[in-house]
Amino acid sequence: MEPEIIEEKVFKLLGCVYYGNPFHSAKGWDSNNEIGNTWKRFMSLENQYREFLETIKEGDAYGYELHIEPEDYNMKKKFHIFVGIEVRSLEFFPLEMFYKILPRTKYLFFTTKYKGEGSDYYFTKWLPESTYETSYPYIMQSYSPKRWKENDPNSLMDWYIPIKEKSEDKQDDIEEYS
Amino acid sequence: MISKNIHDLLIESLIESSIEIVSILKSLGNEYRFQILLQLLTGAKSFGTIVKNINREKTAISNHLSHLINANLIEKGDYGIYRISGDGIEFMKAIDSAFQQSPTRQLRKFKELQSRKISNSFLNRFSQ
Repeated sequence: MEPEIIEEKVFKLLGCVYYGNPFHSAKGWDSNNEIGNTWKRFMSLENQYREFLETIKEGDAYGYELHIEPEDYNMKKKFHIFVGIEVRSLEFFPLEMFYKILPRTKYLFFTTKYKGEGSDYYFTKWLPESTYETSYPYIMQSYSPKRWKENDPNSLMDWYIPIKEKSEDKQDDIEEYS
Repeated sequence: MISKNIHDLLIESLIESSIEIVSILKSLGNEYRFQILLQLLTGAKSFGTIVKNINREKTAISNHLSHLINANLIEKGDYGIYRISGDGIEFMKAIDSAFQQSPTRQLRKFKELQSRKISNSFLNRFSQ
């Protein structure tokens, strides 16, 4: 399925963070790993501050899961996880939560089934053959209440990959060898 | 005694020297005069060499040189050799420093540093 290109956007997120290897206790998409635990922590706070959060929430997505790659990822295999909701500009928010402003960038947007089945097509084929390359070292997934149900193989999830136009010489390479 | 903070002192100093400062900025704020100063930063030059490097008419170059001499940014020595003055060096250094250290450029540099590609190994985690 052809992905969409989302024009430059600044995401503002409010949520919880984790840094480390989230799979040390449970692998992959297991809800008992540290990503799952971060979601549980976030949902507990979301429940506690529901009324306030409803006044600042943006968009329809249930929540976002951000994976940020640090420069030493290949050596340490540790990375940053942020889970939360999209919000408007904030001056005040619950002390236990973190406010994250992502850089202004275009996004490659696509939808996959439960557990990201088929996402590798976009990373290993679509993106290298396109006129785009990743602009920042993070990826973001989003879940919508209408399309996502835990452990339901028919669930759908959305992906946002920060991108920019490839430099001209790289584009020449693509044209020359395609 | 009322103590003044750095900001107040800066404003006071700039107001006091504003006529001279604006005159110097006008001298610097011309593409060809700036090119002449850049040339002279690499060493003293003859009129002929400057004309050849700037690629403008002799009269125009001569006027620009006079402007820079009047602003004390360059000096004319023996045998018609032009060199950058102490003031000229200091102003060029100050301009470069203000430009490089400005919050706008610092932010731009920081954004460039942060902007890098996602590694394949990071993406491959999602492969089924």
